[in-house]
Amino acid sequence: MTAYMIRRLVQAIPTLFGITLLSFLLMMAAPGDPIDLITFQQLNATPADKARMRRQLGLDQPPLVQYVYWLIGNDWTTVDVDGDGVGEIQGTRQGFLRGDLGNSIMQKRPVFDMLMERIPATLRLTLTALLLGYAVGIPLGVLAAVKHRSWFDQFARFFSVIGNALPSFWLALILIIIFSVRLGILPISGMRDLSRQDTTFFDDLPYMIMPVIVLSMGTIASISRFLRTETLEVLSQDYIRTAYAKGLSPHAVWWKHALRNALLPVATFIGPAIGFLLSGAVIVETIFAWPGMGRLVVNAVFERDYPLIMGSVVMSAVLFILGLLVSDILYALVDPRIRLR
Amino acid sequence: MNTSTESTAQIIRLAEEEFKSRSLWQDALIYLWRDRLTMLAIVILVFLTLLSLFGPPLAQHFFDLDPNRTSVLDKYALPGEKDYLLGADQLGRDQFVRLMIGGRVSLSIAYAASILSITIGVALGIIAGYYGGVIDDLFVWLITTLTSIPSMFLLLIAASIWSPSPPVLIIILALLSWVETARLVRGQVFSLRERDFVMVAYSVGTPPWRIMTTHLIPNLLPIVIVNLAITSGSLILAESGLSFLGLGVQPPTSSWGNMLTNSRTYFAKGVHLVMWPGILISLSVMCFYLVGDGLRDALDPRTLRGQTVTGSGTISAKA
Repeated sequence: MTAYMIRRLVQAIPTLFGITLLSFLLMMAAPGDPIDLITFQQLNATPADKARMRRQLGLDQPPLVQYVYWLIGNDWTTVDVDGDGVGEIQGTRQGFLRGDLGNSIMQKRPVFDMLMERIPATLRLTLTALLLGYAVGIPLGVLAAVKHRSWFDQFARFFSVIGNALPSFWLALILIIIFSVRLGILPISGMRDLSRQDTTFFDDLPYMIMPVIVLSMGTIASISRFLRTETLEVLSQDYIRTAYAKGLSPHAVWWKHALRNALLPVATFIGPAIGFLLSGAVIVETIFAWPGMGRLVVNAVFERDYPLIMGSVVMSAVLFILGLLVSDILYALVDPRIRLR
Repeated sequence: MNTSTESTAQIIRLAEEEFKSRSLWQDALIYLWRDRLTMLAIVILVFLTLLSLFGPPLAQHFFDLDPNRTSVLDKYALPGEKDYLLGADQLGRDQFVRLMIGGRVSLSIAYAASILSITIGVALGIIAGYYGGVIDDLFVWLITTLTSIPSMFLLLIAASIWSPSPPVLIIILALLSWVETARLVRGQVFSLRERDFVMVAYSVGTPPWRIMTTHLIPNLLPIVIVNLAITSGSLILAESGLSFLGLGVQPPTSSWGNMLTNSRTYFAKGVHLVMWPGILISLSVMCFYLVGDGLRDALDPRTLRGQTVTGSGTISAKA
């Protein structure tokens, strides 16, 4: 098992490298001069100041050197600030691998700190939605397969199509109109009551209901559909017929023999689902003014705050890869055959 | 003895008559024709497409309906009120006409982007699957990297770098959505490569591009067609999401997504302005998914032999 985990971790390294390369290339492709963006609010910046800043940030270097600085920092070398070819001061950048994602242009704060403040809120939203997705999707899928071709099956199939086709922002608007505007029973946006300091978990719960439902819709649909297929396949296998032949009751067959095997591949679904949920969270957080990473990145895009955009993209990818790792390891735990591959 | 050979021949003849060779495509058409739900979805999609193509000029010509004419008096007119079939928006513009124009933008972006996306996916998938080796390793690395970034974040990055106009959006959406198709194509090419007809073609010295175009691509058409439908659906969703955030199609050009952008500020006055764009997005996406599913069943030889096909999810778990 340990060998398997180590192998999976090592496999993630080229992917991570690819992500840093991709986001760096995209950052280079961004139009406009980063120095102009940084000095946007400093009207007294002279061309000499700008040139000095450019050298200080290493933006005068060739792209490959810039990438290396961005990845591992430049505090192991000296920076030539006045452009005479001799390095004067020690570099200060730590590099992405040591958690230095640069400074936000608008807020002049480390991007890493800004992301770390927001990630817990995003995780709270996505992990709850994941939980709800599994809690509703699994029974829906299994029951649809067990009651194959019944009205419930038809309903589950319809739901699995509609759940993936509904745009989340629209569903959110409809829910807001019904539950916040018309009925007035759920808060319209935010994560907690800002007028009070000491809110408990139960005070915050109403704020989570609509965002989580909207976000988990796609997961419920995908999981129920996946599990329905999976269960139908398991139910057509020989050992299920044997179980019936032994005289077991249908319930014992379904819940003891079929479900156990049908559920195994669902573990692999956690990883991809986290990717979809992180994507979906961008829109859901924007609509419900949920103070998470998604809303941060949308604002950053409007402000052309490239370090913040790149930082959140890399961070979302890291979260996603972690999710994939966890789901692979879980799968290997529940299904020993995987470890041998 | 004689009679027995005769009857055997007769049985063979009858059998040939019964199973008169129909091609996969003929079988698929027959299957599709009997699949009511898929046919309904196709009809709805054709209707929506024609309506958004020819609706606005016709409306202008016959009813003198101008999509950009504003009217302060008619702000938030309800559906049916003052001759507005689906009501008027926050500037008093006819919503029905604007929906048709928006459909033109949303649907054409979806069609164009999915065709481009499938083209990229098939080309890269064939090359990776055919050559294998280092090229394939590079390809796998590329798609693993692309799929490890949540898609919305990639879309946001791209939309922030290239200012979004419809042509740019088409390219962005296509560049970020070819992965699933390429993966499927690559897998299919791997198995086709080992088949006799490809081996023979290779052994008589057919150049690779000819093997790809005459032997591989025709066998990939089922994947292509199914993915064209499903990608169109998911791209409508992606475009409308981006436009809703204000990072996709920019006003005054309307798309179904950006018609909802400011809806939070006016839904108290006109719920119909929130309902209709969303209904049209959901309806068209749902139809594309249903058509994709229906085509998958129709083009899958296993279905035609009468096995139960349960259909795999549009989003399949990575093995």
